[in-house]
Amino acid sequence: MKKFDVIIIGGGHNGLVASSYLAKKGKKVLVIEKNEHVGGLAEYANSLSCISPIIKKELNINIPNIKDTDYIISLEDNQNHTILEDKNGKLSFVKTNADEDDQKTFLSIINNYKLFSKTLGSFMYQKPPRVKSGKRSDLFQLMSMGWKIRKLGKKNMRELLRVIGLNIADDLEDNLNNDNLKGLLSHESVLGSNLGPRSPGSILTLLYKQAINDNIFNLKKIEVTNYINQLEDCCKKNTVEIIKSSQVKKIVTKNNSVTGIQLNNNEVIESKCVMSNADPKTTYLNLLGAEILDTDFIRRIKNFRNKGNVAKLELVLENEINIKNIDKKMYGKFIYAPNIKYIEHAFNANKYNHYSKNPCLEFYVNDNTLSANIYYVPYLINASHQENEIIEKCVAVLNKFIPDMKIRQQKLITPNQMEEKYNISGGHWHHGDLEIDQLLMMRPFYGSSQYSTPVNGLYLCSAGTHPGGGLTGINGLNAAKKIIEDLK
Amino acid sequence: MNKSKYDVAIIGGGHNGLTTACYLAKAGLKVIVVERHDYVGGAAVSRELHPGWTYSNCSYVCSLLRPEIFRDLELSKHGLQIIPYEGSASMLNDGRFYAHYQDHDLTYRSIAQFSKKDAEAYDRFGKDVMRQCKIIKPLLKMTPPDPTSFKPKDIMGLFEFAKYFAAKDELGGLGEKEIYDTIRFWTMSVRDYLEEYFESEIVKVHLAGSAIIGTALGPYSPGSAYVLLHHYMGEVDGTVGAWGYARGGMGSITKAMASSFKSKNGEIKAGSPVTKILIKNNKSYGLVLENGDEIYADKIVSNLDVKRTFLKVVDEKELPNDFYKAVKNFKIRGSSGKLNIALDDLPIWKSIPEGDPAGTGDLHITQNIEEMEGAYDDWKDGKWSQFPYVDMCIPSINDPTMAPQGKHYMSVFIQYVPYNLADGGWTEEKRLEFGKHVMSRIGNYSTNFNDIINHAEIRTPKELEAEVGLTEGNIFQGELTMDQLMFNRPVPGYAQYKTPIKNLYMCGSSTHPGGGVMGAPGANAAREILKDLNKKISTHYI
Repeated sequence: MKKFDVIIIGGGHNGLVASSYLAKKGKKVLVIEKNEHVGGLAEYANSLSCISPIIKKELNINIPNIKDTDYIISLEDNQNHTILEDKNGKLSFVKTNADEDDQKTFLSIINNYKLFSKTLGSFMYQKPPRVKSGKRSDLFQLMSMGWKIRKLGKKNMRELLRVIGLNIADDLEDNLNNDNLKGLLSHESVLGSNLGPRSPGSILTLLYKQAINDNIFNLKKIEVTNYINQLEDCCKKNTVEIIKSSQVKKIVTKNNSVTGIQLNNNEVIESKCVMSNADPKTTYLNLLGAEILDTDFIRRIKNFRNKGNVAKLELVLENEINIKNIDKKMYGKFIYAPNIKYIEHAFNANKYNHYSKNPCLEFYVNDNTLSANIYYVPYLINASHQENEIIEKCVAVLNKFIPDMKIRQQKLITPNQMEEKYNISGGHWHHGDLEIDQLLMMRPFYGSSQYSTPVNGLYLCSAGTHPGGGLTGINGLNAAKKIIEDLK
Repeated sequence: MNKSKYDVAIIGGGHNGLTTACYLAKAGLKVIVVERHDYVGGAAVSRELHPGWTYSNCSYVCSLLRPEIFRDLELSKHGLQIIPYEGSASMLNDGRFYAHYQDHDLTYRSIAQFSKKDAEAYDRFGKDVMRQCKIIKPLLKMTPPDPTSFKPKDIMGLFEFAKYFAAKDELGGLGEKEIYDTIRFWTMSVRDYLEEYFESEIVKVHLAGSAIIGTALGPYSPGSAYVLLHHYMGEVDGTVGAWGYARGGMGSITKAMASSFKSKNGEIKAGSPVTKILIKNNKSYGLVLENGDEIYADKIVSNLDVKRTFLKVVDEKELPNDFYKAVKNFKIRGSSGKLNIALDDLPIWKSIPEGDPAGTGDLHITQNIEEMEGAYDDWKDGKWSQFPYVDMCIPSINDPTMAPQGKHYMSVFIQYVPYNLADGGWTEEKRLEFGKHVMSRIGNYSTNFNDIINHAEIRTPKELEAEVGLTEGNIFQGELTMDQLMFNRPVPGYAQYKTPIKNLYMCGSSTHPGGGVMGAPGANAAREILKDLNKKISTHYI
């Protein structure tokens, strides 16, 4: 019976990153993946530009950019779309209805936010400091975070403290006139969240997004499958063992310490250290079981907000897709979120657990295929969506820009389906909302931050930990570091 | 040069202006309060708008008035009496009602009829919220420290503030878990917060009301849980969280303050709108009245909201660009309406039996949180709420001075009502239609309400703005969201009652700690002014 130093539940990208790091430090690592291939929910990511450069370097991940120049097309019903060009990170307007002042202001808003994102981004690479943990390293880190904010200078520090709780609609309405531009930034801010443009905290989500991406528009720079394949190769190179098509039923413990895991076929594999790449709720409530946790802790798990809110739409059309009034050379990331009011109305539905009858979308086009993120499509408890209705509404939107759509194949993947396929409770992109009270040392919640858990030898490394969602891999890296630190 | 006649001139005789005035007069300064109307009080007034009836036509109940201020200003000596009332009730469509009483067991029983689990959880909820109140109380009194400044007073202020977070548990500091709980409480939505305790819809929506009053937030909005504090951290007669009626209406509070002020040789000049603050060399030195008269003072304090102060009575060219822009962007959207109704009789509620004390407190008709959020959705679209949230009470039950014998005065506070009505804006016709709509909603829960209405005064944010001078009819002189609280209130860098103009101060609810009839902004401003004058007084508050 093979024994492992560390067993990792789930072959999502964070689990793969963690396993490589642990193996490089000489640990014998096993990854158990439920599906036929690794990668997890990452396969639905259209855009990927945010792999941590540190991880790229240390794990020797080499993925060339697909292209240097990219386009963002913010669609408008009257066909006067706004097109932006992103050339190696530099943004400029190609075409827009917005006047010169608005264009200038738009770019300067993004630059100002970038400044804050950079500061917040610097908090991402370390495990989040606990407040009053008694440990000097935590206190030191807190002070260093405070100092980094202070270093922004009076004016910027004041502005950061002002916008951190503010909603994006107010900030944009204060500074911009053009509805399309306001819709565009609001879109980037709320996509993947349970917030609307008027929700306090919607600027923070945008700052966060910009902190993990090198670009506010999260453009498709590399192929995700390429990334996942390289991660898998790296694991194999470091003699990490990966078992696929095998599901973990339970984390086995004795006297509050991990002894191993039990698979669905009842086979038990022993190890004193288990890292779960499943989301926190699944880990604690399904895999571990609430019996060994105290009531207060269980309450906190249940209060962790993780309602999924984005669906994926994949269409295959009979013919090559042509978008009205847009040169093929400029096909890039298409966004339909024409103004704040539209997005806010779409958001209203999500609050009541309905899908948005007038949805927002962002999509990419490739020959005759179209891949879109649709919001809001909420995760439902004990119910399911009328998928055809949702597809109909989306196609109605797309019809405004793509004439003569003859659909050959259509597939909608809702948060409920994401939950089922990847075992992510709530089908939430980031395994849990990215709001102030669920970030940093409060992610996922008190007693479970810093990647450890109340159970000896059990760790967490999914997007439900700091720094949160996205595809940076930092969660896996930090969690691996914590294990190594603890095993010393 | 102009000879200063007064030590301090205060623009606006609202409750904060009067509070500042009282403290400064107590310190022996020569103070004048200049008030637009013939009466003082601002939004804490009692007016006979219908013969025989006294309306608390803006604010209507009292709880938040700081007890130290009550004592310092000797308000009971000057006639103020607060009568606590029983509690609150929500009337359900199915004929039942849900209520909170002074008596804990009665409340337990009321909750238990809907959910026993919730009845048990209510104690835990109460304890947790009270703990938050305890944490925030000392912060109300503080002048917010400037976190970007290295000045000793700001560093000391930050230490005071951080005391909770840094001090050992035994010394009254918070533990790690409590710190996170506090951060969560300050940033969550009230709906999410209540979901963590309760399962029954009526329990949740009944409690959620206190989180949306006067705000531009819905119960689902992050940051709404914090507003609960503004409605729980008061007290009446030492009972924390209790609310009461001021005998004679809310105007009694400001009348008592005015009387206290005059007893210290304070001067009130009523019927005198101010059109301009006189400024020379970046220093304020006086006021210009509508009739052309000028009043000179060493220090000027504005009780007007920050927009009214800096966009109406101060010249733009006197202000730094950044400050001016920030004031223009200050969020002060009105969202509340009010009906003041003269009733010929006591309303008979379909669900609350006559004589039940639940009928003497706050009454509500919203059925569940989705309905409350829907009311907010309507406001976002520039409409008055189809299913408005109402906070009704009948002060005359406990205070017979408000109405002729056997008759009653009912106050109805409404969320949400937009300042800018879509489709053409407010007209006289629409205002009446709005009033009718609310009264008909209320009528659904009563067997006689529609028949006993003698008179109804209908207020939208427009009327509130016109009468009281509250910009856009926002009852708090500015929204209570993180971007406008503490060291961000009213604008970052100017959260210490001072302004870019030397000798010009602010003392209204646009400053920390914000709105509600607290008196704290006024008292804090007075403290800063006295510090600047190197004057010391010994009071409970300062």
